[in-house]
Amino acid sequence: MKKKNGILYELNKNKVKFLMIMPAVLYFFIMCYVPMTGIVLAFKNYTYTGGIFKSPWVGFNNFKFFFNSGKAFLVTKNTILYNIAFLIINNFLQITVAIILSELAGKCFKKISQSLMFLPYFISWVVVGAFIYNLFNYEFGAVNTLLNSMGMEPIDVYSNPSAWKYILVAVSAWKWVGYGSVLYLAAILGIDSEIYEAADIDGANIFKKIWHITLPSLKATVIILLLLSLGNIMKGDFQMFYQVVGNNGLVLDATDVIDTYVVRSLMDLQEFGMTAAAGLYQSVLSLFIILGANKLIKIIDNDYALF
Amino acid sequence: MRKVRAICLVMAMLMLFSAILAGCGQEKPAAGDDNKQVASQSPTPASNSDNSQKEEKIDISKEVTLKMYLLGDMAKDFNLVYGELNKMLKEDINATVEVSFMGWGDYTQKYPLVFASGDDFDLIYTANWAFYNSQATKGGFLEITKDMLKKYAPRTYESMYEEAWEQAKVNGKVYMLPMNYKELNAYVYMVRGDLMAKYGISEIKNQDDFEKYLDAVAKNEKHLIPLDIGSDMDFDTLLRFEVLAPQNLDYLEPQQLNHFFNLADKSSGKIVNIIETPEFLEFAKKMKEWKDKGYWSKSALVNKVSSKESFINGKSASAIMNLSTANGTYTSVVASHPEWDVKVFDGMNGKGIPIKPYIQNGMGINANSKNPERALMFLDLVKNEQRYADLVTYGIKGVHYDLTPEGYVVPLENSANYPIDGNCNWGWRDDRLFRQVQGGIPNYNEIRSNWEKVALTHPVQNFTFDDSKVKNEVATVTNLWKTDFKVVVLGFTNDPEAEVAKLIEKYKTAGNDAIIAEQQAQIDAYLNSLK
Repeated sequence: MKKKNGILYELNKNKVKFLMIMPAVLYFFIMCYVPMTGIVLAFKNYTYTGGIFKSPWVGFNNFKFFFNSGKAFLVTKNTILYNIAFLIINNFLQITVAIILSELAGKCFKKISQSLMFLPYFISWVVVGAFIYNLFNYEFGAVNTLLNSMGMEPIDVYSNPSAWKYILVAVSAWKWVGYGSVLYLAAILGIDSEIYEAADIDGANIFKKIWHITLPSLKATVIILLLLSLGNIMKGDFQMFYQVVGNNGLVLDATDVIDTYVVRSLMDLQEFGMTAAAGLYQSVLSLFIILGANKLIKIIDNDYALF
Repeated sequence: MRKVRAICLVMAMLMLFSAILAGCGQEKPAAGDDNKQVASQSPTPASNSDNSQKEEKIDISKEVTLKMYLLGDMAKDFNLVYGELNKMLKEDINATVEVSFMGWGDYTQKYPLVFASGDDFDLIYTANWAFYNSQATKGGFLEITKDMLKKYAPRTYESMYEEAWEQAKVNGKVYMLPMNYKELNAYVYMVRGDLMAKYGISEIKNQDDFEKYLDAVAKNEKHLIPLDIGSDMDFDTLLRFEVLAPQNLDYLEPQQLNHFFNLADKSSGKIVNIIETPEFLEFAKKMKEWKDKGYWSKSALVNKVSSKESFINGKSASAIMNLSTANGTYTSVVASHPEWDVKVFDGMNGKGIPIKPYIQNGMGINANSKNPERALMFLDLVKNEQRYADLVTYGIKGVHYDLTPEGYVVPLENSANYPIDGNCNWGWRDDRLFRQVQGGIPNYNEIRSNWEKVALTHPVQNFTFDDSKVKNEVATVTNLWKTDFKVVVLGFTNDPEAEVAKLIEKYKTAGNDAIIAEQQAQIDAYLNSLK
């Protein structure tokens, strides 16, 4: 006799369902949970001969480089603020674009504009970095050439920290709006068209329909996407910051994020332990942020929380 | 973000693998040895390198491919030349080499990765500035013993400079075969003679003359950058001329710590923290002035191209490089742009010229290599046979170069496709086999002999810093070198005095004093141990 509530009974009863979920479980186990053992490296002095498990322990020593530089607060702040800015601006633009696309009548125009907006997603950051350099190079850049030809003073972007805040936000929006709007467009297309028809009969105009039907229906999608991106709020988009800004000491106070700082400090040292420590620092903070955000949403509206 | 996460993941997995494989990796060569001795009756192909088979026959009946990593960018005709090399190797030691290059732009990232990944490549270029010490202490290289040399590389065993072998020791063990070549580490200006003539500058004897040249170019040649510095490779070259050489100072490795020692003061080995000296402040002021005058780009901080590349491409009017690089570059630039009338001038003013340590260039064998014997035999050939050395250094005779009756190398038209001495062949350079280039820099011998008269060595050059106690400080100081220090050195300051003071303060906060104390203690102990 099997116990009614035992795990074996459960397995036997739902074996088809368990089989179906198996690939996903295996994937996450192999790709996410097994590599997580690497976290111990954060507390070790890694050597090839010792490997992950036999290298000597060093306690919290690997974390020190991050905090004794006096930059820890600055780069953490930059990372969080940039990500919040990206989050708000990109999501706002993505939703706007999705709504506009869904309301557009001309099919041909709609497809073309959607493709054009999607295109930047496929351009690698290295190439984007080259674009930026060729735009803003002081002597030969496109911007300064244009300003010169109009008889205006050239601008020196590469030694102006505040300019980079706007450049980075703009570049991020340019890159991600097309991609993100597809998700929202899909959600909008999923809204029951009968609601719109009913609104039409009631005489609602297009703005009323967007305000009272489309936006409320998008709420769940917005919140889930928001929660998912909150998980990455401690991780600077390394490629973007590294390629677009480069190793420019003059503007680093405004542009340095955790990832670029760690790469710059440890590139020549090749200390796996210290890189792992920086990664762990980001992950732990991310965990707290996502737990906090989830809690907050739970208080406001239980239905939308992730877990 | 995605890439970093993916890399972390891959690295963690690879480390897991290498941890598992670590044991096997080191035992393999020994096991291979035994097999070979047992099976050594099988007939070996006709071989010219009889020396290597004096005592007991080394079995080379099994054909192997040696995987080799070199630094730099692959020349156009590289595969052509190495195809020739492989034909010779096939005949002599029944092996071929397969070369992969790590480009100058990203070798710092790739180099440790090929070790961490547990790749079973056989040979890799290494040097005191290219991860020799860090990978040796981590167990990345196979230890090379004199017994191994006697057996597999007997001619190298005979010809090697004893100092070179001593220099290569890390904790008493040797992990590389250093070059057998005395190299002077000093720099020259490369400028365009046509521009000099145009602006009436007859000669560049010192920094002031160089300034005049830069000034003339900045004022009159708007389409040219006078000196295109700023990349991580060479942003500090002017520091060398202005501050280091006059005081006989040289870098303590690793360079990014930004510590120096006095070459002329052989007894003490005291560390000099250059940023606190008045000379550095003067330099910072001068660099600001030069930057403001437009001697280099206002975007120099994000420059990724070395002054040499920029010069070759015709974007800038001058470049700074060491003499042997200059010699190779000169030849190819004269061929492609004879109208520039390229000229090379000594930039050192007879001071601060170090003889490079032999471990400045060398070849290491991977700890995971399956064919370390064959790798050593290969090195023995290229290090000791003129025909091999000629091929890998100068290219194919009759295609890339020719020889004069006196033994000078004459570059031919195709030489640009396989630059002379420019294909990371430096690891096996040897004084006995190295040839002088005809048509290289006309005043090459003059400059070199001037330098030889005043060249200095210092025991500290062979000192290697064990940073394990101050790793955290090293990380933060490294970061400063690439950011704040670079900003000041390239003159991107508004008020040099205040910013140098701020820089000193930043170095203090980062824990530079702790590094100096640790490094000094190790240097003192090292110097004492030599007595």
